[in-house]
Amino acid sequence: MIQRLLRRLDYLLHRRRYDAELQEEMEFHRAELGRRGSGEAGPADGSPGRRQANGFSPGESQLGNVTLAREDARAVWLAPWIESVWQDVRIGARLLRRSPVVTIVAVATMALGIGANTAVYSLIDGALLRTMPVPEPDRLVFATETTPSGVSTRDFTERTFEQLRDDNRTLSGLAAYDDSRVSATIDGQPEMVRGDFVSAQYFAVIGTSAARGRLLLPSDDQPGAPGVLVLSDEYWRARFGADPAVVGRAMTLGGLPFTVVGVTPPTFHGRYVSGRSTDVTIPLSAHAALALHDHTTLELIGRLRPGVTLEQASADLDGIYRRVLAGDREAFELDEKRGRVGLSRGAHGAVDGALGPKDRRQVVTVVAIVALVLLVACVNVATLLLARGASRRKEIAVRLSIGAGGARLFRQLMTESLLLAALGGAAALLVARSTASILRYALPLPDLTFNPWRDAAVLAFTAGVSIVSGLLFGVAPALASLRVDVNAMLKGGAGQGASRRRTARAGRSLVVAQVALSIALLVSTGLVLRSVGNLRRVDPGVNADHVLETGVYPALLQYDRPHENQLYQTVTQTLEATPGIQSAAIARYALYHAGVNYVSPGLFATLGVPITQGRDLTQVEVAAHAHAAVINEPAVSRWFPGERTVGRLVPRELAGALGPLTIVGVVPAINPSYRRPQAKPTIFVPYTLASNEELGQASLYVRTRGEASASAPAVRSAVHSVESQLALLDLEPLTAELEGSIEPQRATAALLGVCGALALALVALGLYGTMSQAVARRTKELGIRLSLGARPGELLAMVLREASTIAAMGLAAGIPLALASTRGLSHLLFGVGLVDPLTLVAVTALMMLVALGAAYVPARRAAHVDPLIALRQE
Amino acid sequence: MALTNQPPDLLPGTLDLLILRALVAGPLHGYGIAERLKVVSQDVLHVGESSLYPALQRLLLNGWVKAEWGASENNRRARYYTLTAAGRKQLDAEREEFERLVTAIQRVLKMA
Repeated sequence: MIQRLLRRLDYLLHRRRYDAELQEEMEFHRAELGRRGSGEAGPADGSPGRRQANGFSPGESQLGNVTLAREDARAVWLAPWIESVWQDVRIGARLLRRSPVVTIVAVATMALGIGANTAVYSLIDGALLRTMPVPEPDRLVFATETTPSGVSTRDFTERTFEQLRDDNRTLSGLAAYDDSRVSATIDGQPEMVRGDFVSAQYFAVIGTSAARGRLLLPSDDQPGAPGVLVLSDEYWRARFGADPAVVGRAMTLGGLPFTVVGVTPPTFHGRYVSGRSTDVTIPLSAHAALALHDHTTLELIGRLRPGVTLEQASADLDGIYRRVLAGDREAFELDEKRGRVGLSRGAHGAVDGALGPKDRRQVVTVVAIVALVLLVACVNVATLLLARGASRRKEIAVRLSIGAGGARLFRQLMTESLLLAALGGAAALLVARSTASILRYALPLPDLTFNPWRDAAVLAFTAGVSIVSGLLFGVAPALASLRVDVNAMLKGGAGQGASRRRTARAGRSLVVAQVALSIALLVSTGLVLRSVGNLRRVDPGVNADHVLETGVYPALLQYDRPHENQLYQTVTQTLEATPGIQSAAIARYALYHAGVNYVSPGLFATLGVPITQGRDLTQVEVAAHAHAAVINEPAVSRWFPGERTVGRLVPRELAGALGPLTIVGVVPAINPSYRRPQAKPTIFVPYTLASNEELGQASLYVRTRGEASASAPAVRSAVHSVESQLALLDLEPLTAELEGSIEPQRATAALLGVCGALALALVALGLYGTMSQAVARRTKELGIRLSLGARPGELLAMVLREASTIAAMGLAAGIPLALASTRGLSHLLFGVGLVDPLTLVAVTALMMLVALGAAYVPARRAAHVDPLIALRQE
Repeated sequence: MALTNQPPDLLPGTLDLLILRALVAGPLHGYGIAERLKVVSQDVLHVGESSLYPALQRLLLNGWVKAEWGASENNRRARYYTLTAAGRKQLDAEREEFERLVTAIQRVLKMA
């Protein structure tokens, strides 16, 4: 049955080829008949009985029969209903092509409405609804520890893990994991990869099997076992080009040899339902050697034994934990470590734990808003179709009068609406990814990578929403179109009494609503755009032009402290000797870090930060581990307001365990983002003063002479000439980071701007339609006025006045709406109040301009009515 | 007078059955099928274009035959029909049904 349907569809899509083939084949048949017929039986032997019997020997009057035969043969393919639906679709497509502006605006409106819903759905689906694609996902649990004050963590020590794993009676398996960046070298190319360090049972607990090769075995997680790793499907495709022979390949991790033993399936995202998965999975035994220094704790995932409840298992684990604490004096003394151990469901693994009630409310609010957006979009498109329906009244009246069934016409109009909705849905899928990344700012959910075209649930949701919206916005215009008075319409009469006037009034109120809505959107857009401008003007404290930033992790290459210090010095010196590079420096922490930062001399020159008092740190001070410090101005104004600072000691509160530090210089606040400057008191000391745990990684800043990104390859090769295995993490211009800091504002402004522009287009089309109808309806009246001596300019002004009245009513409703809705944006605003006169004036002026522009064409038409023609028209 | 070959006069579905049967020996083009039926029926069954081509399209739609272009005996482009596995099954089923029907009719005709 389905195959038959597919064959029919194939016919519809390749109709021309099918028909041509049939025709050629039948011509061949006739040719053969002619060729052989003359020799064999056929017309020559011509007995009348025979001829009557077969009735189609070649020759005379066969043409009609042939055409008929061909029609019969074709008809086989066309189930009657398919034929007529197909016809509707073609007519619909033709009509949509005929009014491209209306079609484009309608499709774009629906794309936004549907796209917002698709985006929110995919975020919620990925984060909340979907469970992990593993057997019995409900049995997966995460271990958490909750302190009496209600703070939850998932961090456990290795010792606690081992006790919980070995002593519990309620879990069929418990595994530990930690993710960390890992320094890898593949074919001599160093790079940073995302690594998951996992204990022996990890894959068994989650319940997945290898797509290629094998996964990790308990024997791999032994000290001294040869280094093995498993690639994720994503990384295998991206880095190894999905090489089928990848199993057995060698990789270097943190300077140690490893062998690829397998690849995980594409559906496996570690502990997550979907989204960014890890690159490599490594036995936990390599954790201490390869992970970052500050990664000392593990998270735990387990699988309940069949029939065991979450509560029973939680009680079991908590009991074991109490015993561990009792036996471990050191842990026991850590008061905060005395929380209760519990378990939470792990199958919806994209979100850390369940959503709190506040988050839940936020999700519900966002869902309500996007549903409302879709509804508004549907109303707008319905209005658009209503207006266009008016211009098609005559066509429909003709079709009704020559006997087309009302139901048939209704179906055709609905097909057209569904076609529009389908186009809108397809467009929505195109923008869903970017819409999702913007809407994420409004949702307490992680950003999940998804491909709407490959995700069956998202596709089905979008299709469903499209169909429902198509029905929603299609019904009213279709019914209105069919409610025509055929006689009056065909007679060409303009006077159609009350119903026509009622439609006009409805149309007018819709335009008022549209104006109000676009005002709200445009005001919001204006406020966010002004915030972007204001944020850009914030002084980040650094001169980011010509600066490259990257991260290095010597600790991941088993560097000890003396070698690490040596490395930083050699790398910066080598870079400074490289052509095109002016200076280079390192800092342990990101620049917005407050408190103590460990830096190399030249950091301030590299970043373009002026030293306002004293001097920078020196190489000598670094080499000598000298207790010297550069202090920032917020610290000066807090501890030494208006006093001489250089030469004094750093306040103990700031120096902490570093002991006495002599201040050698003062710098302004550094805040390398356009976010609100909140620079806190900070000191910069030689990196050689950092304890072993504190160092191990650093940010590297390079000031270039030319364009920053052009020097990236030079920086890379200079660093690699010093240490061939040292990978650079995200080598980027510092300006990119600055721009990234205002990404939420820019993205929101873009989204609102697109919505606002569409809303304006809808207003323009709506007003144009309303005024055109009004002018058409009053042609006679206008004619009388003209013949009584009204000047055309007066009529023009009259129509424009009417349009401005509509716009003014919309403004009156829209401005309060705008003021109410911008409240939701307050967290994105910077340097503008919620009531911004400039924005309000600009938006009002823009709206009036659009309204007058849209009304101008009908107004001119009114002014140029020919009184004679107008009066004769009845 | 010979039995006419117009569909209304044949038992319903018989033409499809005959075409399927004609294709058992190997692929044939439309004209070849008509010829085969004519020859085998000893000039009784003359299948015309107006019933042959709709029937062939029907068989294509049901997936009982498939069509491929090839060269005819005199090297013209001709469309050859081949029996599919589903077609073979259909042939067996219809054949049984047809024989049952013919036996039934004969019983009636031969009644005392």
